[in-house]
Amino acid sequence: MYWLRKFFAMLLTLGLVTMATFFTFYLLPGDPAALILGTEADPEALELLRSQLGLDRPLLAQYSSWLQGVLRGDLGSSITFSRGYPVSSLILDALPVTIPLALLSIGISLALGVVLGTVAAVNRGAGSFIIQYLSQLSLSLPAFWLGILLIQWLAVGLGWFPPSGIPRWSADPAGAMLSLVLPAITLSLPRTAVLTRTVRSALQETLREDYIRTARSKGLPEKTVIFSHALRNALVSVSTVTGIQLIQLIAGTIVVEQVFSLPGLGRLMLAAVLLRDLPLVQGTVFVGAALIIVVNFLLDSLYPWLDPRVRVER
Amino acid sequence: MQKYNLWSGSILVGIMVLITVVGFVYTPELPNKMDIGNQLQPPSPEHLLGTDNYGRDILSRIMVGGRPALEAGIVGVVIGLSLGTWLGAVAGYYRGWVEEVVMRLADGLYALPSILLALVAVTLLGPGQLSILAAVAIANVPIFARLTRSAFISIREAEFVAAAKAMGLRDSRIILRHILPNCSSLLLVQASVSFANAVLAEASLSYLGLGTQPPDASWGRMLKEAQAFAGQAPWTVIFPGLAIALTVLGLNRLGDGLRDLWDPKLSPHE
Repeated sequence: MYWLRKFFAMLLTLGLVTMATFFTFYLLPGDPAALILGTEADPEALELLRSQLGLDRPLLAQYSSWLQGVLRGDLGSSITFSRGYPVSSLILDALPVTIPLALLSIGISLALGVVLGTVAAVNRGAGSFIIQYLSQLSLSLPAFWLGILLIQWLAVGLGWFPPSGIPRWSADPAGAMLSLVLPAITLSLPRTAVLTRTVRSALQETLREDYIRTARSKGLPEKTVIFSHALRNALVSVSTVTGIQLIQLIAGTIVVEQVFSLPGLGRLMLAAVLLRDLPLVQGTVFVGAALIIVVNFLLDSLYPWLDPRVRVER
Repeated sequence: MQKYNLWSGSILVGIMVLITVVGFVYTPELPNKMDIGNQLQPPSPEHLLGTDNYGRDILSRIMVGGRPALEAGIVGVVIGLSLGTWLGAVAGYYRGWVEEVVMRLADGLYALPSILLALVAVTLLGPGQLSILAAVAIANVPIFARLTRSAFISIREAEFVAAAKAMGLRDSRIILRHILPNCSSLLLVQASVSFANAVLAEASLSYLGLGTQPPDASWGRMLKEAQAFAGQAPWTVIFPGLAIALTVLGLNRLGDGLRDLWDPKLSPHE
């Protein structure tokens, strides 16, 4: 029941997102064809582009044919990248860069966040030091500056990592992985700070619960109390925060992919916006939003496993 | 030690604002003046922070490059704070369906990172400072709306509000003169955090080429142009980056310091 409800909620949100992405760019003042070609464009060229984009048809008809396309996996054709190239192929080429980057980055910040947060919760002195400096540092360093400095130091200087770009996964999987390490570190710094803070406060709260006192009083070693009793409970709120952080993460890839010249979804979205390629803007925004929604659904499905109370409620 | 954040924050912010203000009347060189033959010179008495790939004086460019960032902070925070506080106050004071509508909208907007808002703004308005100001302002509205609403919900139950109502004061007067002043410290702390985020957002967006356009200087734009020369001429990336980091650090410390000063309960580090 729980999963079914969450699943339908996800479908509903996805439907709303298709509407939002479609109508934002078509209901806005001005003619999309003129937006693309510029206001001084030749009227015949404008007319041609309008019929190419289907702009001469009623709005709802445009939406329904776009939606049908989305369901078939057809997001239209790019109007700049070698005209007529399918948007879906451009996106499919970009995802093998962005998805591993996002996963690696979430992995790094979760691992660091849980370790640092646990240390901070157990040890007060170290705690306030870690929290204060990590959060001030991560909130103040611009990600792109950190990225540029890391490239100079670890890639160009010490030669441990490639400075930019990424080989194809099929050609050189190890090299591709290595190319993602620095971008993932750059991307994970702000999230590490937030997760550290969350783990710390969640764990501190859990450690005050009665069942923890029970566990301690029956003589369990402190390690067992923290790791197998308290941490799992604390992870429930951590998974919520991780879901929220995902949105920031996808947004962060736009900057980080630019710094490291990675041909991912964020860079494609940026190029689409700068080139005013509306079908590509719609396609990348929709896929980005869909990714966030699907991952949030997967995280929601983890709750009942992490926290049996959710299974009992409703 | 208690006031360390407040002091160091104020000093950092003061220095960066002063540099930018002086930049309006005096810079060592014209910030956009190219000097072919003097490209990528290291820091020296003539060029205290060196020159970039067009021979332009980096110190002069840093002095004027803070304008778009500080402008984004001021405009973004003023618009976001006024609009957001107003919406939040109405929602928190009247509750009911008004609150539902305002808060659902705010939640939806809150989920969008300012960089995505900026991408939408650029799609519509084209790249430039205007798009950035719009994005930063809109991104701040839900933040202040949520904050003000939650403060209003608890304050409206206070006895002095009941007393004001019993005296027959108009709602607008109760909201503006009786409840709002009680939220001012909360709003000011958030304003300094929002200011810091706006500076960072402007720098990131200009780095992406969405904001200040060449040949004009902005700290983020300078980094974009310097990135290719980072190895040859590290000063071209170090100084603009430091300018951003120090400004944001100062503003964040100021926010932390104000929070510690006014409400130790809210402090994240007990």
